[in-house]
Amino acid sequence: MKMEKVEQLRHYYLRHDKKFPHVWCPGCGNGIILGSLIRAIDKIGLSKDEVVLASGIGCAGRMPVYADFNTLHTTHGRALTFATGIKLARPELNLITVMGDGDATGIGGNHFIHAARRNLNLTAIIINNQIYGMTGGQYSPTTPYGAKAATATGGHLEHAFSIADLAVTAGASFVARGTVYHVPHLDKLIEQGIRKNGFAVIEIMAYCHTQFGRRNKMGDAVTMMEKLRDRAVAVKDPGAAGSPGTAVAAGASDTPGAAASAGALDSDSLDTLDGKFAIGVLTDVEKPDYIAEYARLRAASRLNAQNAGNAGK
Amino acid sequence: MAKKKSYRQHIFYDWCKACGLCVAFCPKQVYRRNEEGQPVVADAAKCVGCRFCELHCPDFAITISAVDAPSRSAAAHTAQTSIEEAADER
Repeated sequence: MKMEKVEQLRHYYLRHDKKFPHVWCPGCGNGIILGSLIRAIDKIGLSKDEVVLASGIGCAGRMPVYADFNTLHTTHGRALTFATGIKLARPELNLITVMGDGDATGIGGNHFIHAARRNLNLTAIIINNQIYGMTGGQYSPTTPYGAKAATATGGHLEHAFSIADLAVTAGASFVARGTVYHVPHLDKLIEQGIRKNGFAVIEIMAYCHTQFGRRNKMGDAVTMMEKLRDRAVAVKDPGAAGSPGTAVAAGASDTPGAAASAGALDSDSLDTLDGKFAIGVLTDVEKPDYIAEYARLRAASRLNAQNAGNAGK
Repeated sequence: MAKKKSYRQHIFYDWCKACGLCVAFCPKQVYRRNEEGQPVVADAAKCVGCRFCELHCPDFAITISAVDAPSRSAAAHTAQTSIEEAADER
């Protein structure tokens, strides 16, 4: 019998010698994101050897275990540093990092902002479940104000920041946000991010019903998935304009529902448990990436050295 | 009336963790949950092939395939197979 396309992808990209079902909790969005990543890479047509998937520590860090690319499972928060080294040594490879919110912006926050500033051609997929899930539910930099966590049992006293806004400010050339509910949309965002020549950040809003949902009485995976669907509002693609897009109304059932006023799309709403947030391409700018800049410097230096040598004769 | 396309839902129970996403979000209520919370095909003929369950199954456990020659008996057979598979699982 003919194998369906989706089955072919599973057979081709998932490792056969790893234990399935995977380690993630029932209903966790990480598996959905792995599927999305596989489809995006297949769509671009990259071979498995041309892709490097690096991750840090945490639930998201398990993803390279299951995907049959060149993979690394690195130390906490350092996925981008390892990826930077590989990219500099082998610029022809496509580097993709998978991190959680705590991994990327808490433990590895400094590496993240400087990787964005450097504009090396990497793709950073950041799964934002608003908590450190694997280590037991400690609050992360994106845990909303007032939310309960293992280390904030009386409600969180600090405020969350928006990863996408941080990436824009730090100078990433492509910043997008998606959710694990809007999967066809997510496929496209990941594809655009990988194709982008420059530092690309895709923040994926997910949920942790085990550590976050249970403490905050937000229900099971299904309820939290519904919440994501209702909270997300699509933005218009800003193209090369470079500024976060403005909110537009979207109607179709698989695209975000009733658009709120633009004011409700403030990044402050990510600091609440039920505020609306924007999804889509938030920034897409063209600027020379680090590899191109370095090649230019090398060529110029070589020319200078030759000229100096000729002058000496 | 144009021929309605029919779809077959294959559930790979070895990988299913009974999270319930497919059952809850199916726009046509194709699935129902068994005692263990896993989906069983309740009415295959209702499936419109949107593949929401296939895309959103975190465990890669659902495959939707278009059936070339649609017939009520094929759909009934699918439902029966799924129930048997569920029974084997127990």
